[in-house]
Amino acid sequence: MQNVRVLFRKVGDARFLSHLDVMRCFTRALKRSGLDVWYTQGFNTHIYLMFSSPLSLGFESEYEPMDFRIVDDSPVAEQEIISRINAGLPEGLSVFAAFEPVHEHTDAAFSLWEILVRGDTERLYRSFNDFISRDQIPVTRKNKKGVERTENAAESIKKISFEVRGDRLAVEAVLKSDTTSSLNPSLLMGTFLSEKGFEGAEVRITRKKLLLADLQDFR
Amino acid sequence: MDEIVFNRMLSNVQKPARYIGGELGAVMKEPDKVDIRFAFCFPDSYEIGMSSQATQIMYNVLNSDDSIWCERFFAPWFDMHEQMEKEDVPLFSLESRTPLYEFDVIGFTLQYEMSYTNVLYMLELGRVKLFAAERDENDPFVVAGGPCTCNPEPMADFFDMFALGDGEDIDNEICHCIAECRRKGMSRKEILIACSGIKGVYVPSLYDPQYLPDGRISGYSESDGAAPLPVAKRVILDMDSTPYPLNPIVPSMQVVHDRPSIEVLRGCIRGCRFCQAGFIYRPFRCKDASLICQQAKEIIDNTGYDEISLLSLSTSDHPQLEQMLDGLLDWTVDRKVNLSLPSLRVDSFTGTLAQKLRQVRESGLTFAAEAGTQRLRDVINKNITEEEILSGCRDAFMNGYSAVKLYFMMGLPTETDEDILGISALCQKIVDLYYSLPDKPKGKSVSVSASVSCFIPKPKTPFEFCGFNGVDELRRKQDLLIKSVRSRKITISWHDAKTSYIETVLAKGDRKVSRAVLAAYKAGAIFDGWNEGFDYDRWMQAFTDSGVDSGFYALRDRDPDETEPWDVVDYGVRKQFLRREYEKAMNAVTTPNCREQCSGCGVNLFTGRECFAER
Repeated sequence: MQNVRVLFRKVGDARFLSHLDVMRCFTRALKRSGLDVWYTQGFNTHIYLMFSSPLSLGFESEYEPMDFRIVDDSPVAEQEIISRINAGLPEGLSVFAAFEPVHEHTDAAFSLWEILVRGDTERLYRSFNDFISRDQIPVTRKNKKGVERTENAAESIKKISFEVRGDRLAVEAVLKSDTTSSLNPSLLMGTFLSEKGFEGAEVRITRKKLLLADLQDFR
Repeated sequence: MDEIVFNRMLSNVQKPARYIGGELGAVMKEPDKVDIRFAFCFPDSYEIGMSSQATQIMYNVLNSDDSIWCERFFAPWFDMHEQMEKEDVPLFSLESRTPLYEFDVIGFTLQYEMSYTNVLYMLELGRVKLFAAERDENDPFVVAGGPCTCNPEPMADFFDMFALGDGEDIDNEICHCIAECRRKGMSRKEILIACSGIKGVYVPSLYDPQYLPDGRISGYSESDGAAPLPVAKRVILDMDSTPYPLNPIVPSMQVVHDRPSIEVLRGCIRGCRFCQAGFIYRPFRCKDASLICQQAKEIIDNTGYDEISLLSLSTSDHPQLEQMLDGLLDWTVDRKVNLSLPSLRVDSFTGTLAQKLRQVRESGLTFAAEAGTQRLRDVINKNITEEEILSGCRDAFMNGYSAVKLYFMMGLPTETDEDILGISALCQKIVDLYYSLPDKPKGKSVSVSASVSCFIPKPKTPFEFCGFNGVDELRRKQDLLIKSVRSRKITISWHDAKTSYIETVLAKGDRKVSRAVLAAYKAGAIFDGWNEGFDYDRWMQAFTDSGVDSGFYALRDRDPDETEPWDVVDYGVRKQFLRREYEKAMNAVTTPNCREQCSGCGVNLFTGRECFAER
């Protein structure tokens, strides 16, 4: 049995696929690939797939890990795995690396996000500077029962930088993203936009990396 | 299309994946390198349209042709419609995001009458003139195909042409004809006449209906150069050599029917008198068992699905059923691929078949009983006895099934309250049967669910002469049925009689009914097949406003000598045969299936070929 971790991109229009859709796409692509993948042994047997940190609908990513197993012991070449899976994926989903897992999924601690906001860049830059340079950045989230809870987002921001890039404000943020708690960048940006009067501005969010506690790449 | 606008719209809708395209199997071409850009339109949501084999078949045959690029359009859901209006964006294709009005040929598939208002919705959203008569030299040609074209008249004013019957060759021929005529610089009218020369093409504008004082049709006046009426449908005779989509589009999001299909046969030998498909798809043709296995395997290889469905009107009527199932189970089990057989007759569900199917799936079984008493089953020529139903259920229970679903109809011709009570009585017998079996599944309770729909007397069937039972009467019968159920193991579900009434008007209408379709659409009717869209009062108001007497079309029994709107098209089955079957129905006399004895429907004369030559 071979444990395989692939890294894939979810870019362009594929960001409009839900996490469940993505799982189904990969299940079919693996089935189609002819790789001798391992099936769960339960009552309703299906291809074993494991994702690190599901991506919200609408987000893009350049670094999504997904694990599966190959039953055959003789190792399959990395390029072979990549090209076979990619042949069965829709536009915007593509695998770019395959290797034996180095870290545990629970080791993932942060995500590096790129956030692009379109609008009056000068005003955006100034407002964002005001918004982010505080010790207390209260954000309010609702749980499934509709109960609101306010927390300090500043505690979940490891690093953040921003600049004007063309007609957009570009934010690079390392946000907490582990199995116990994480800060969704849309929550942070949503709070910023409504607080500073930019409701409805176009925001594009891309995960650039998944990181360990020491900010090394999760692999 | 502007990317920013596209993103803004999609960020504000529930299921944006409906509108992005880019699926595995989607076809991209260079627009400049094709002669004809074809817009395949399915007048319902993406999830419904992508579940239809018509979409896959037409996409495949059209895109196999280097001179044509076929792209897809579906009806945008309410939330997307709102976004498109707000952003002033016309209906665009999934592949290249090109507006509908820029296409050369627009082809709608009419699968059910309740999608008619969505045709107008898509045309208007795509900025195409609604009436064929309004379109000029620069406008696209708007064509319709699919089962509903067996009565094209209620939609005739909106379409330039109808492609009747099997769609595999005809749309490509229409495209080639249009391209050729345009090269010669012919006018729109000349092109339409040229297309009417293609077998199976009905061009409604070439015929003008005349009416009797009472509203019935007296005849048609034909334009110069028009093909004589009736226009005959197109038939593919050899299923084996007909192209089949082996590389279907694989939707990235979950759709209603989320598995590929392999068509195993077309047409039906049974002659159930209520079933329009059983008559309009004649003659019976089937695909060779080994070819089915080979194609199914290829489809699974190409798509990666873990399930495949056998598509037919009655799978157990395939002459090589055993061979086909063995050939499929041979590899599907090992490869963890589920086989789904949705159209099994209860009388075919024997012990061996039940065992074979148990190898691949664990789920309930559905049997179509259609009526509650033997007398009524004889009237509709279902040719299934109560013993066969019970024996099918017994086999199912002995093989571990504990849930069965039964299909019934109410509002059938000659139906009495006794027939309605027969539905609950039959369900009760199945429950009792379960508990009487010593070998029933251990520790499981039985569940019998009956789904009861309202019968719609459709054109081209022996019941085309009958009227619809009526909304109030069907409601009374539904009440009667529900009150008669004594066991909690039995669940009854039923269809809304009001929807069925409107569907009857649209199915049996003539050209005047198009005014009501337009009025309903203008009053806001879209997605009439959905609870979210259907509004009975709006439709009744539309009939009143457009001066259409809905009862004249839906409720009236028809005279055998009457000229019907659907007589303009010939689907191979002769009227004398339908009338003969109607008379037999009234006397509860059955007709044997086509394989046992030819009932003389006329389709063999139509195709010039015996249906069962091997006999």
